Amino acid sequence: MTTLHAVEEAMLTAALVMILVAGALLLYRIWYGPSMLDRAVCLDVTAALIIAGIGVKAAHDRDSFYFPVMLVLAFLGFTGSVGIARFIAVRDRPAVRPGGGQDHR
Amino acid sequence: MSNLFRDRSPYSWSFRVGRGRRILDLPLVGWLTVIWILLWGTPSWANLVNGVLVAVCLCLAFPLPAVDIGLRLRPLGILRLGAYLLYDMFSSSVEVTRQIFARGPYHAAVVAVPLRVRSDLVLTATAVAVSNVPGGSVIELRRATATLFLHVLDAAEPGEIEGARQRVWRMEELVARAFGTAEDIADAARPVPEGEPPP
Amino acid sequence: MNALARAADLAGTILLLLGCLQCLLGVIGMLRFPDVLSRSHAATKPQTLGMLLVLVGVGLRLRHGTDVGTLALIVFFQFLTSPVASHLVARSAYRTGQTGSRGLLRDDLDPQLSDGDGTGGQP
Repeated sequence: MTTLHAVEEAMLTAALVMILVAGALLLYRIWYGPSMLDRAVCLDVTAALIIAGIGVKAAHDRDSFYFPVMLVLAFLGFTGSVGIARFIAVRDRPAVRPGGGQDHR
Repeated sequence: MSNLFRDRSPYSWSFRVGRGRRILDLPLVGWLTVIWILLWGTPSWANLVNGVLVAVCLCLAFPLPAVDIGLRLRPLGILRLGAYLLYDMFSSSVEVTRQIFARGPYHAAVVAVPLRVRSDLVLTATAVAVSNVPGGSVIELRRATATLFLHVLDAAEPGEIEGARQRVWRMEELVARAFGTAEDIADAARPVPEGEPPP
Repeated sequence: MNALARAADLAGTILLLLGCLQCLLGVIGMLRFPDVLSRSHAATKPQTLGMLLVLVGVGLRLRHGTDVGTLALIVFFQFLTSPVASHLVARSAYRTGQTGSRGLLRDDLDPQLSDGDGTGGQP
C-alpha cells in the first residue's frame, strides 16, 4: 500500500517535471521564432500543456476544482492562433534574399 | 405554441412558437442543458431547471435557420470510427516519434486527395478526423470538387504518398458510415479514383 | 480501498505519465523540425494524443460521474477546435511560402491556386 503510493507519487512528479521541461523548451521556440506562425502553433501547444498540467494537479489532489478552467481552455484555446494566422501572418511574408534563400522574420 | 413537429433531420423534434420563425429545437436545448450542468459540476434539480430555462431563452433569442445538414447518428459506425481513430493515433504517433529522432531533413509534399462523398458534413468531419491524427495536416479544402490537400512529411520514402491517400479514403468511408446519410454511404463504397493526378 | 480501485489508480497514473511523455516528445519535435508545416505535425501529438491520455488518466483516478462527464466534454471540444487552428496556420504558412528551404517534392495545390478562382493569393 505505502510502496504503491510512493511509486504513484514519483510517477506523478515525473509527469509534472516532463510538462515543465516541455514548457521551457516551448518558450525557447516562442522566443526564437522564426516566424509568427511558429509562435501561433506554440500558442496552441501551450494551451494543451496548461490543460495537461492542471490534469496532473487534479489527479494528484483528486479534486475537480479547476475543471472549468480546462474546459474554457479547450473551448477557446484556438482563438489566439487563429487571430495570428488570419491577420498578423499576412504582413509577415518572408523576404526573398538575392541568393534565393528565404528569410523568415 | 403549436404541435410537436419534425424539422431539419430525423432527430430534430421542434416546437414552433407563435407564427414567427422562432422554433425550439429540442435536441439543441437538451445539449445546452447538459453542458450547463457539467459546467456547474453538480447534477441537481435546480441546475436542470435553470439550464433548460437558459437554453430555451437562448434558442428564442438567437434563432437558427432550419437547415438539414444531413447528420445521421449510427452508433455502430461511431464505435468503429472511434476505435479506428484510437488505433491510427497510436500508430501515427509512433511514426512521428521515429521521424522526430531520425536523421532529417525530409522532402515534404502537398498531395491532393479527391474524396468520393460530396456532402459538406462528411467533408468537414473527414478533415477534422484527419488533422486530429498526428502526422496529418490539412492545408486546403476545395468544396466544389471535394478535394483535400494534405501535407506529407516524408514524401521521399516510396509508398508514403500513396499510403497517406489510402488512409484518408479509409477515414472518409468510416466517417460516412458513422455520420452520413444512406446516399453518402453508397458514395463512399465506390472504388477510389484511379489514376495519379499529374505531379 | 479495494483492489479494483487500486488498479484503476495505478492505470490512471501510468496513462498520465504516457500522456505527459507524448507532450514532451511533441515539443522536442517542434524544436527539431525545420519549418512550420513540419512543426505542426509534431504539435498535433500533445494536442490530441497527449491530451486524451492525460484526461483518461485523470478520469481513472477521480472516478466520479460528473467529473468524467466534464473530462469527456473537454476531450470533445479539444478535438473539435484544434483542427481549426492547425488548418488555418497550415493554410497561412503555405500561402506565404514558408514550405521549408528544401522545397516540396511534389505540389498538387500550386497549379490550382494559379488558376485564378477568386480565392488565390489571399492568405
